[in-house]
Amino acid sequence: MPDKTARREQAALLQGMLDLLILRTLDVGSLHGWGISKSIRQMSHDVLTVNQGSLYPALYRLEAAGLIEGKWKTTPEGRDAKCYSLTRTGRKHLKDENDYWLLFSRAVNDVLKGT
Amino acid sequence: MIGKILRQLRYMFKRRRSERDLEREIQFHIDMETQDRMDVGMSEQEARRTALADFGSMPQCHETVREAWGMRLWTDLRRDFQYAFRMIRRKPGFAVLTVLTLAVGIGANTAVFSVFDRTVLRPLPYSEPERLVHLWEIRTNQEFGQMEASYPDFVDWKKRNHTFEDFAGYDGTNFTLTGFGAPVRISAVRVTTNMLSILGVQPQLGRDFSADEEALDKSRVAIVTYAFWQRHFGGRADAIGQTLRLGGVPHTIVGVLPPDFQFLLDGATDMLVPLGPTPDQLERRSLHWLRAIGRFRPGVKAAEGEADLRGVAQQLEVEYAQTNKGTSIRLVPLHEQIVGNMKSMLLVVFGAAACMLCLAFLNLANLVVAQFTVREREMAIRNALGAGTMRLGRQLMAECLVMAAIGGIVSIAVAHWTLRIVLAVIPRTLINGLSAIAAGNIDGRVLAFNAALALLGGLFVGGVAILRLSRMSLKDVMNAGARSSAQQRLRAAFTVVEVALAATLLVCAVVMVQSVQRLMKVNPGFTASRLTSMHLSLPATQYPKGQDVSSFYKELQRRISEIPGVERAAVIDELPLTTDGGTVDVFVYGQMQPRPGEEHESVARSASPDYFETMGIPVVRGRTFTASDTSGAKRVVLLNETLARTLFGRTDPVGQRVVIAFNKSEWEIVGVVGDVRLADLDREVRPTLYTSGLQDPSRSSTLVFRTAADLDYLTSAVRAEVQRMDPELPVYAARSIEDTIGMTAGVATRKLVLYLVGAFSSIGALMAGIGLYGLMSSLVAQRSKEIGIRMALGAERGNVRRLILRQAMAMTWAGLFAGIVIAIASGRFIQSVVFGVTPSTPSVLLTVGVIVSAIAYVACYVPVRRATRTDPIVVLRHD
Repeated sequence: MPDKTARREQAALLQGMLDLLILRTLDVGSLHGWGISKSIRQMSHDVLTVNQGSLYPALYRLEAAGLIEGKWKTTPEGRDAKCYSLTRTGRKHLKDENDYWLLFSRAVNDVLKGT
Repeated sequence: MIGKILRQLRYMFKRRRSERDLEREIQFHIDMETQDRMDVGMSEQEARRTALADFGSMPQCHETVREAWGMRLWTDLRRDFQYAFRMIRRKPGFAVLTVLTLAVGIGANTAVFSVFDRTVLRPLPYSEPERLVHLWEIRTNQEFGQMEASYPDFVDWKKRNHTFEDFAGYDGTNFTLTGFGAPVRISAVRVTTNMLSILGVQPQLGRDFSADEEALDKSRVAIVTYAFWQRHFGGRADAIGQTLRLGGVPHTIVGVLPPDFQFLLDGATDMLVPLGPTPDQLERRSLHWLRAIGRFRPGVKAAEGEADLRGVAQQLEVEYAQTNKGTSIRLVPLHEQIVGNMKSMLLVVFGAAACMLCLAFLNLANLVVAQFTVREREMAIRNALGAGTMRLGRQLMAECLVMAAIGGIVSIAVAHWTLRIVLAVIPRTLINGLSAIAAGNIDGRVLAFNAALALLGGLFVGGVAILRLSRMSLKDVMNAGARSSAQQRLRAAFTVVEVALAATLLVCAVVMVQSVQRLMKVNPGFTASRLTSMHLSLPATQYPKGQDVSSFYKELQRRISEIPGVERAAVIDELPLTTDGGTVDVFVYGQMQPRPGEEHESVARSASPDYFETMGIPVVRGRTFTASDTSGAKRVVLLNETLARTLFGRTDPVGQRVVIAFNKSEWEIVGVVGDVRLADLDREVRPTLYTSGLQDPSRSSTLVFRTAADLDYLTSAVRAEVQRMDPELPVYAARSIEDTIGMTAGVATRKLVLYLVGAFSSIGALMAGIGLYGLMSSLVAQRSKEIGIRMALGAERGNVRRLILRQAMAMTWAGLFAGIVIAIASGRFIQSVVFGVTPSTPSVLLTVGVIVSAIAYVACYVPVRRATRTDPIVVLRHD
């Protein structure tokens, strides 16, 4: 497992990927920020840890772009939390990005295999 | 897409709430994380510490979020505008045309607005101006109803009303100012001493008049205007207390008015002096000379005030039946009194300017759509490459706004120069209201108006472009036929509206041309060619008795008649076409004096011998005045035809006598002369009587000459003669009768409107022509293949030409028809400035039809020529 600094660099490198991961997480249902970060960690089997410092900017950027929508809700524990869900544009965008990512990663794979 | 912008705007406006939201959200995150870590066995303190540490830098997180929500819009906008500038630089021709069109359209409107704003829109620059009214006495049973008040009436209004705070009175006058180089004429206003306090104005320097200075013997003081103070004293404070010799009488300067003060918006006034009524003026109730201004008590409505004063007038009718029977009062809001007659004229000019602005905007929209044809491919490709329609639209809008902004800035210069040129082209003395035009300067309000117009123009043109864009798809771009026809339809619609607006403007311009022509053809009652006049006024101090005045003028007339080149010369108290004021009531000797309210009112003029011969006024019966009609001889009078008809019907009045009512003096009628228009060419002839200048002289007089001599030569020769008789007397206002005619309000106002509407309509017609030319050019280009086929199949050139022309003319005539309908419908709007014609007069319609058709023909000539020069082979090989 790479050390912390290396992971940070990786995160920066894959900045655009974070958006995709967030959208994918929300495809299942609406979640608050902490839930998103936890969900990404679990779904990636602890490989991907989302840097909190970039999670919230990403959420607000996506919201500003109209891809996701945040609403204040009360959690089962009785606390107020801002829950995000995909908008229609967001869903469409996710599909496009998903296809593109598959294409891209397959291409990268092919190249890597080729060596 | 719009939702996105709204969201960003919402972030910007609700920034503080958004910040708090973020704070709460992060707090929640930390709490949950802490809870999570406590669940796996950490102590609460440890859990919170590590959770915070893992989160990273809190302020940095805030900062990045802020960027995400706020700056996005600005960076995008900045990019749009940078791109817009780049695009504009890449096609400078189009940009220059656009900016110029906008600058001319907006500039002209700004200039007109600046004048309109100063005069019509803004309240008068006095304290609580809505409480100020101008008062007139009216004769309830006569057509020349409105007249000045008599002093005793004025005093009674003051005493008996219940709704007014106070009244002030004034009377315009002229003085000869000596002691500052050559004698000069200055314009003064005699005012009651409470005038400034009624207007709510304080002198900037010195003091206001005191109440006791109103009496004739105490009235030797003056409050001068700021401009006069600057001109004659260089703004020195020691001007206060200095003496001005006005008409030979020393007046002490007691005050200086503020720089922005204009007495009732008349910029020509040099000073105010106390009223100083003569005993006659003070006591005679039949002498109407005082103009009155009243200030309502707070909260009083105009109708209440009017009813109150009407009541007072009714009391006076009973108490002074002899003079006041049939006399009532009319109140006019002071603002309306001052700008009322300008308002209708300015509205016409404003309307024309607005029409031209619409034309400019349409022309621009036309250009943008045409430009779009060129850029469509670029747009479609960029669209296909992923630039959103909205983004492209925003860029187009940014381009239009940048050009509109530049146009707006340039237009301020245009507005400035328009005002300057109008002032330079038209002599300042032309109309009274012109000082208001000089007042039109470019201030904050005018700039706001300008900016609003520019923004409107940018939004309109940008909107049209976006409309085109939203209808566009890559498929259409490739399908040239479908694309072009939609585009041509839009442009054709624009062009028809342009032609319609241009036709409307041209109708107005032609109506104005014909109005002025018809007005100038009105017979003034005398022969205008080779007539010249100049003015002279004898001070009462040097010439106290009527005998002194009449002998001075008799001698002067002899001398000036002998000036080489002068055919005839004469003296009259008031030159025709200047004023029809100065009236008396008359009745036929031997008949009963008419009951009060039924008198015959007549203008009275005092003319020297040879006056009618000099002016070329026909003598209908009897004789004119001779050198023997002097003060010792029998008192004689001449009537104009209208008065003779009124008093005597068809019987010959010569030899009969008339009585002038106020002093019961009897005058024998020795002749009847032709009618002369005294006030204006567009006013009716009023009953007029003439007395002999040798019997009934007037100190202030006009010398008239029938001469072919040059005006400068004549003026210096006359000055020399006058100087020989009295070195202190100035001769002024020397001008030809043609100039006097040009300066009458009737002619001057219409000419001013004519110049402005003429200029606007010329520009408008040019723009419509350009629009038509552009459209026809692209139509011909688009149909070149069809034309080529037709010609290859043997169509004649003439046929092809007719084909294209028919299309152009159909649009032209549709526009022309619509324009004429608009002009006729708005006929009432220009009613106040037209004379003898209306927009529906056949000669007007014919002229406009010919002009518009000619413009259309010229605009189509090149495109049509190009069409008929088409070589079928070349066209068909293309593509």
